[in-house]
Amino acid sequence: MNKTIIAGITIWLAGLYPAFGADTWPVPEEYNAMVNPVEFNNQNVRAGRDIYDKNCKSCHGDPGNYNALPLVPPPPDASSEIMQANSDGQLFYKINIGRAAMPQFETTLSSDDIWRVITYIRKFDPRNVGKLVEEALRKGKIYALVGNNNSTIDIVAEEEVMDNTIPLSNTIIFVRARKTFGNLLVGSITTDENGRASYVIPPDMKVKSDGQVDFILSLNDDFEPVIFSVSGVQVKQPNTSVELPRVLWSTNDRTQVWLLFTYFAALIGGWAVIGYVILQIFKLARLGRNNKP
Amino acid sequence: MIQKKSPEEARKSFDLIFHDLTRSLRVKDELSRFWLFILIMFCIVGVWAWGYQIKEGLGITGMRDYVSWGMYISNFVFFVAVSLIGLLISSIMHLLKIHWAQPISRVAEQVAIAAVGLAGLIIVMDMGRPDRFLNVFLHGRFASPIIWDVTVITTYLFISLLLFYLPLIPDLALMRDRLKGKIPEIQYKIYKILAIGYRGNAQQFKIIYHSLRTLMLLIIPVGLAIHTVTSWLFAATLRPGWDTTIFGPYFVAGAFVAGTAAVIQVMYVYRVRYKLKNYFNDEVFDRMGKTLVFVCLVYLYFNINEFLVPGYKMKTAEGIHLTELFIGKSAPIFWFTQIGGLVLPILLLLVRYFRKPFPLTVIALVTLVASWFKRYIIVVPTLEHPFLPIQNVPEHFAHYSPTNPEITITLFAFFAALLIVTALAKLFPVITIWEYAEHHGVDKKIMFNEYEN
Ligand code: HEC
Repeated sequence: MNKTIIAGITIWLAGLYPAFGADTWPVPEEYNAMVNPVEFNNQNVRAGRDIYDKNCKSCHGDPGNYNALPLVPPPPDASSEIMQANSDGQLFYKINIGRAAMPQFETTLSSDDIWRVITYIRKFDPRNVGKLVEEALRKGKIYALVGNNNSTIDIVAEEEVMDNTIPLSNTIIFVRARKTFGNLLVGSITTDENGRASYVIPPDMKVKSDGQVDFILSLNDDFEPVIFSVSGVQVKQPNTSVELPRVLWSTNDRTQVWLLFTYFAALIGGWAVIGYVILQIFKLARLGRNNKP
Repeated sequence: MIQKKSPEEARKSFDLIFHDLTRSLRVKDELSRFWLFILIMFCIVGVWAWGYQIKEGLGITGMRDYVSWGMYISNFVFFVAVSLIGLLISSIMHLLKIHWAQPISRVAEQVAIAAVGLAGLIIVMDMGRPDRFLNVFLHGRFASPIIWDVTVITTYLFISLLLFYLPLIPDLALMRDRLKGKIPEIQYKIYKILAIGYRGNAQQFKIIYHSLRTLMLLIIPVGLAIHTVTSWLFAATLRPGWDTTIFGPYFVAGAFVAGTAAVIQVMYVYRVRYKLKNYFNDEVFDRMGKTLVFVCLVYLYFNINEFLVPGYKMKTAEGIHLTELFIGKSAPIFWFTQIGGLVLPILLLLVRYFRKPFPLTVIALVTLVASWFKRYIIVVPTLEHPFLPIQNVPEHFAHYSPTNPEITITLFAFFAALLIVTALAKLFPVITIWEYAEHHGVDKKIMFNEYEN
């Protein structure tokens, strides 16, 4: 949906400036020699990937798959020669300033983030192949308890490093609530240096009438999949009156009113008619007596 | 269709009709006595078995914790089903002015009264402590479909009795006027009392017509309710095979099949025993045959819905249940009920020959038997799959096979029902005399001539 709108707009824009397509994209002198200040490592590549997936993927597609939107001029694939021929500084300039359908990101992304995206793009530079050693997934563990009168979830995260368990510090924990179908991401929180965090349950959360929510905590995908559920957290007072509910197959004083009404209305209605007919029979008898020959 | 007859002719033909239709009151031969003897014997045996059951407890039946509804409840559902024919023939067909059905409306009412009366009794017989029966009324829970069922069945029985009695009043008056001295004194007295001084004048007939019409309208919702509520006994629980939304109409449609088949049996016996060939004539049988095809088609439609849709999805528990029905332990009975109770009557009765009285009666008998087993197939197999793995109970708790006393008590219901029908036929004309005569050109003034001037 979004893609189509963007495509529509850009095709229109591209029509306005047909000249850009053929040109090379000039970059001011001072940018050419800029060096990416962000270190080329797994963590930064991952951070760059997240930014790319959010802001760029809709046009440029998945790196290496050449599945960019068919715009004029076309957005080059991140792994393509056109893209990789740029120096770090040239990329920085082009992303900041934009041209034709390529939006400017100067006002939407911080310089740091732009550099991180560039780091990610560089992952697909043939010269960088083999430079990043894919790390094995880390082993994390989460424990949690409901705290502070059902208003927080107190979390402890640990990591297993070579048979030792150490606190998992400065790590994002995702908090989800169980829905009837699937889970809803309600927030996230970063652990402190002791691997602890206290998630404050949003007080305006909308919940079922029993007032309970099941929370599911998880780590990001640097870790082996792990979840911890905190079930039946009484987020709100249950929505029940002191009176027991009226339900089916129940005792008479707990039977639904509509049901009692229907039953007795039908009963009284039916027997009233029967009574009426019986009265008619009495009338017949009386007529018979009066008409004796 | 009513041709006017001269008073002479009319009087003559009325005498003939009266003579024919009161024959059932006069027949007292060896065969009648033997038939009564058989019925009463079997009823006594049944009552004895019931006494034994009351003394020993329901443990003597095949029912256990898991299969707690067995033959009795199947039988109950069957009798409720059969009773619904009263609604179809003596109310709906009457209101629609379907004239060929007029002579059988009293037969339908006889069957309805016997069936619904026995249905109530069967429930009492299924109770472990029948002495606590009144508690159902004293402490019943209005939220329970069981109480609704007790209520509607009682109501239906009452209406059926009234629908039997009201058109009978003029007949009783006729018998009071014409049979003095020709029948035993007490029998005559009974007629006289029941006739409540009926004189057959216009004013009285107006009341009869008015009351009849009121009852015919009332019995439609009540009749639909008895079988719908009976189906809710099942449908209101979460059980594979019962947990379906079409159970109400499904049961009602099935009831018309069973009831039509039952009425055909009784009609045939009356036709032969009471020499009523000209009354229950070939045309009436032909039409009843067509009616049976029609109700079977409706029922077939519901059966397709009931089995095809869940059979397509085969949800876990439902799947186990359906496999059991289609190819499992219950398959022989299941296919017998579907083929004998539906396919067979539909196919055969499309041929005119099979709608002749005798072939029709035989086919309807097969249909009736299949209808009984159909109820069994609805009640028992579902209970044979308890939800949980069974723990700490003997293995046989999950299976059901009826015991001899249970079968005896079940048969009792049939003999008792036949006894009621027989008694009604021996006491009262099996066709409404005045109505029939009027349809054949006899004026009411001629029937009640003595009092008309
Ligand atoms: C609306 C679609 C769209 C989005 C979103 C988008 N781009 Fe582009 N991008 C384009 C188009 C179209 C071009 C080609 C522009 C040209 O050559 O005139 C382009 C060109 C580029 C170039 C220049 C390649 C060259 O020719 O040297 C870079 C670098 C680039 N994009 C990076 C990004 C980054 C990084 C993001 C996300 C932060 C991004 N783009 C988001 C459409 C988009």
